[in-house]
Amino acid sequence: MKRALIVLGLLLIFAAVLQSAAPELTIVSYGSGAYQESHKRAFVEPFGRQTSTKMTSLSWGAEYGHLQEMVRSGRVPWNVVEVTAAQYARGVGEKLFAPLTSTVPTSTYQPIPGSPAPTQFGVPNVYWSTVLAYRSDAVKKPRSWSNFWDTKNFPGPRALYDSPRGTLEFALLADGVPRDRLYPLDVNRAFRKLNQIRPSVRLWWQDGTEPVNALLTGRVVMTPAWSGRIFASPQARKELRYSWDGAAHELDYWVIPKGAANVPLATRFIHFASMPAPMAVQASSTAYGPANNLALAQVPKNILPELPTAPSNWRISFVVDSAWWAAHEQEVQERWTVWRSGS
Amino acid sequence: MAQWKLTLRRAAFTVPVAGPLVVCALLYVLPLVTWLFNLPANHSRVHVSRIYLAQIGTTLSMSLGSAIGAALLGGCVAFLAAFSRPRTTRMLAFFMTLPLLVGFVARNYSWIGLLSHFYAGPLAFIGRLQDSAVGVLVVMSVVFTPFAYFIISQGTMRLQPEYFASARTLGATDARAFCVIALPLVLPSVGIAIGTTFILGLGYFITPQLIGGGNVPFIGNGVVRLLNDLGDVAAASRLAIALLLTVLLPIALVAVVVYVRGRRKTPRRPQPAAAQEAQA
Repeated sequence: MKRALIVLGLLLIFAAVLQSAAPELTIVSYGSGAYQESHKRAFVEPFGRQTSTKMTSLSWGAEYGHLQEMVRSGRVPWNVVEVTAAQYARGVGEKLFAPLTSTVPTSTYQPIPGSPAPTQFGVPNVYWSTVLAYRSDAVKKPRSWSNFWDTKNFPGPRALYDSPRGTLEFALLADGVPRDRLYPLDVNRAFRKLNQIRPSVRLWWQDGTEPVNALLTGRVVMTPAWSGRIFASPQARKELRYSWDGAAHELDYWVIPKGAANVPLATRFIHFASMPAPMAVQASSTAYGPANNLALAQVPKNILPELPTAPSNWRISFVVDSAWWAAHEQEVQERWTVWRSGS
Repeated sequence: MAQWKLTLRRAAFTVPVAGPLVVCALLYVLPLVTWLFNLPANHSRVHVSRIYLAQIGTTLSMSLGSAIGAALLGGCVAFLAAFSRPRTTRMLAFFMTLPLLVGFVARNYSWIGLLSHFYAGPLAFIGRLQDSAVGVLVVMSVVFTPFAYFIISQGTMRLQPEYFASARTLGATDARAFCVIALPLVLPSVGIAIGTTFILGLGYFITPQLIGGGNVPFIGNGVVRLLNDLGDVAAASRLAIALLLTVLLPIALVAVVVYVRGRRKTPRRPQPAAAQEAQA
């Protein structure tokens, strides 16, 4: 009995040693649910199989302070993190990221026209979009944001994202500002335009599931919504329509937080996740737009029109200027809070 | 000597309680005070802090309203259970437990699903409960009802049929028996139910957002907004502290009043026998 216990103990220790000897990577995606699932299937699991690495897939809500604290404390359990473009810019400035051991080769990665190129600190990953979604049984097909503002010809309750980010841009587009002259934003003009639509806005949403749900139940007839959330719900895909005209795109990056273990392997993972084939796999299951132009060619023809970065959609929409927002977010958010309270 | 011992004994109780309280007060209050004094004389800042005051007001009034609503609903069920056969009582307890087994967010979404059946027709006012304060109040009251029920049923359990039988033999009507016997026995548990659910309501932000559609912001929504949209952890914690203080103040007041009244009411403790003998 005693001997059996000793043998068992030794085996356990041996197993633990083996376990710790295998390389490990923790990949953190921005957003859980179907999105994290697509990361697992397209990037994390195939890479783990190829390199015999023990992979862990996590998700986070992109709370910048969390990452900041982690790097500052020096205990960094995450190897690769997906951050927003704004966080990428801020993090590079605050020296939060470790440089990749090699840059992504141009043979496998070419940015979408107008999209930033990979740097030593991060690789642009996907574009996700806010589109004008509507119930086709309740309103005529809206063609632009000015139709959203037109409550006479397109009657019915609306919803808006309870944040100025993107919303101010939609207001300016509705007011006739051309897409390529949005920035720097004319904040006063945007709020004046928002005053017009306020009485028709019934729901101010904060989470991406809310607008999809509100459209499906008929609580509202028109709202900006995240295209990926519509794609992720079979019922929404069937019943809801949306327009790419004036859609707002936001970009995410892969980065390695400073202080993380095994930077060379993390770099290899980022290279892998930036190759056309895995990116196309992920795009097909989520309809998020790969930032790598080469990936688009490998996306199935029926999915392509639903991607933000598909040429026909990309041409009629705009990218949210994260640099402008980084400089003005605090002040505009405060003004938004005041405006929302009615004063 | 005896007096001194009493003081010592009191101190032995007070110090372990007061020590942490003082530390908490220092840790919580100091940052708030420094924050108040550091507020820049910025027009929009002043506006913003006024908005947060309004949010605290909404939080307090809606929490109290839903706590009272829950106590009414839960209290009715508890009384019904107390005067029913054991089997019915068990069924009622089962149905009260049922909603607790369903996830909180799921329950909110099922309310949305329920209300969305009434967007048109004569019952459209029910659908319009969405995106309004009344809707948030109704949903929160119902969400809190099981908690209120379980607390109040502790009070209704004390009601014995004999009490009412003897009241009746003494000539009391049913209504009078209810007011004189049942209410005084149950009221303390109703108070506890209101207090408990009120405190639960203070931290709410999901129901105000999902049912209120962003039109009924609680202070919790302000905290979430500061954290998620601005990543301003410091401001978010200041807001949370502001709520804590506004809640602690009335509680402290009530505690003082109860303490003073309690001291006036309770008769002086009889002296220990040994001391009486010595005096004699």
